Amino acid sequence: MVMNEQKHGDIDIVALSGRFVMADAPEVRERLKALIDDGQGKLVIDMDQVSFIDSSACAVLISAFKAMQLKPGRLVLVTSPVVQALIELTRLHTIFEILPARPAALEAFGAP
Amino acid sequence: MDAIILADRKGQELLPLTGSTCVPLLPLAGKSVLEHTLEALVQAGLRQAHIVVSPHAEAVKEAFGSGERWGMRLTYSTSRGEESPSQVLAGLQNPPSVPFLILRGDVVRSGLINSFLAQAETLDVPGVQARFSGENAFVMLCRDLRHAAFDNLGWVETRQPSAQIDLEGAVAKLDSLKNFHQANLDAAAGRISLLLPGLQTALGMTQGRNSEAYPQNVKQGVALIGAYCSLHPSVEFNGEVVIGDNVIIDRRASIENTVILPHSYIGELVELRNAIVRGNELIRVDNGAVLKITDTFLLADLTVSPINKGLGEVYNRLAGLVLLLLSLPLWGLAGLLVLLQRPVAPFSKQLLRGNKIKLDDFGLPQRAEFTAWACNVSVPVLRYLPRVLAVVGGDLRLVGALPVTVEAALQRTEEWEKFADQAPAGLLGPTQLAIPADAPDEEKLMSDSFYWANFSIRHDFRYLIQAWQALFSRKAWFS
Repeated sequence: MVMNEQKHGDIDIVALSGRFVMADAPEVRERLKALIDDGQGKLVIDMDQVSFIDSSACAVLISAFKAMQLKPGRLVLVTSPVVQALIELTRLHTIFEILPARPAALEAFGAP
Repeated sequence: MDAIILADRKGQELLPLTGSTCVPLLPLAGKSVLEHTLEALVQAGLRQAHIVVSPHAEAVKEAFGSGERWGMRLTYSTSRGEESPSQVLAGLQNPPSVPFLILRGDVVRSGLINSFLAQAETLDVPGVQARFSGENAFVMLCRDLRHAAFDNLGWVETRQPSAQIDLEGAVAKLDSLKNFHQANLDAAAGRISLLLPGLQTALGMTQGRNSEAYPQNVKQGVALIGAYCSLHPSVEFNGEVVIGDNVIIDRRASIENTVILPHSYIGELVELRNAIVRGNELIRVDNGAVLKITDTFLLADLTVSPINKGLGEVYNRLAGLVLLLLSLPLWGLAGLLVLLQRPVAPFSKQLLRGNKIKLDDFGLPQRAEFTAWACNVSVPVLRYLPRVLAVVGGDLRLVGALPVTVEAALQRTEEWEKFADQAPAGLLGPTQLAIPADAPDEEKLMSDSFYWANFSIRHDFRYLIQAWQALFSRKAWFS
């Protein structure tokens, strides 16, 4: 899995691609925690190019969601159809704010 | 013209009816709430709609599918529930092309959509909202995605200035059990004009296909009876009564101003007034009492077969017995190690939630606790050996989710957390085999969610093979 970090104004963007599975979970968990701790409470996790996620990856997303709630801040997910299907299957769509593409996610934060 | 149907109410205000289903699928006068909206769209000549649902999204998709039954083309997306319409529209993969109709599918209304469209199309404004007899009809024609006052259609209503057209009709918001009850009676009596299923077979009586009912059942008033119902000739209806599909009503039952939801049994001599009945639940709308009746001679849920353990449990217990026999050499080893390592306190115990069902003090079925024993030895595979006894006893399945304490289960309050709870607890499973014991709780929970979401017997066999392989791994013998 490849992880890229970008910034758009005060919005942190983490773009993931490939398979997001148990082996990647500790590294992504650490990076997201650091970004949430140091950031402005605005985070987009872009998984548009992710081809598969497993339960450990979902657990990482939940950890990030909980950390963002404590901060408090806002976490927006951008999902590929495969990721979206797995998120819906496990009812996680009831807690995550999910948008179809990165521009829509940035717009949700009021970015131009 | 595109139509967007917002049907993402969480339905807290209609508990306990929405405990196991969602508002769009609640039966109202013989059809589901959402079906009434789809029929109104078909009447108005619309043939495609995008439905926004949550939770129970899969159940809605299963019930309505691609919409062929209504001559429509339906697509779906999910929201987090009760999101503002502008947020929902921003999240759509394929935004609708203007002009489009946006309306709620988790309320019912009887006004004509085509009359509204005909009038609204003459106004040159970003959005035109419908009111039926002065009430917000939760319907809007939108010409401008950026400037229409969508949030007037949100379940959490906001009031934004918007062009409006007032037409004749009625709206039922279904925002309380009392309102849901009244909407059913209003539909049966024709005060809310909906397309009702069934044929009028006697004065005041409309009945669905294959139902057994008698003209003398209606003493006074109107009765709307669903399909596949069986009523004894001595049953008496007074006032307005709505009976769902697959309902059985026994001798001399007396029913007045009541809504009986599908798959319910009403016992002999039972009297019901101003109530909603769903299975064995009785909801009195006049005083707000909600009762769970455990005496199946009075009310019963026909979808639940009592004490049906099924063959699955027998096979599991037999498999547990075989595993116990196969593991006998390990028991000897465990005994020896315990004597060497912890002769004073050889065993420890923990109360965990198993798979057996018992009724709690309120008559509600709950999963019973069982005592899970463990050997106090350093070898992981020997430590949990006594749990094989829980499989033989029927508390655990051979393969299933990680068993947890009742306290841990009570902390699972969100829908996604409770999803894993539907999985039976097991001795072996993906969480027990692959997730480290010190992993965060949400990782274990998600592993169990994935197990249950992708459940199949084939996968269970695969976990058994993995467990057999793990038995010869270093991890099983050295912690």
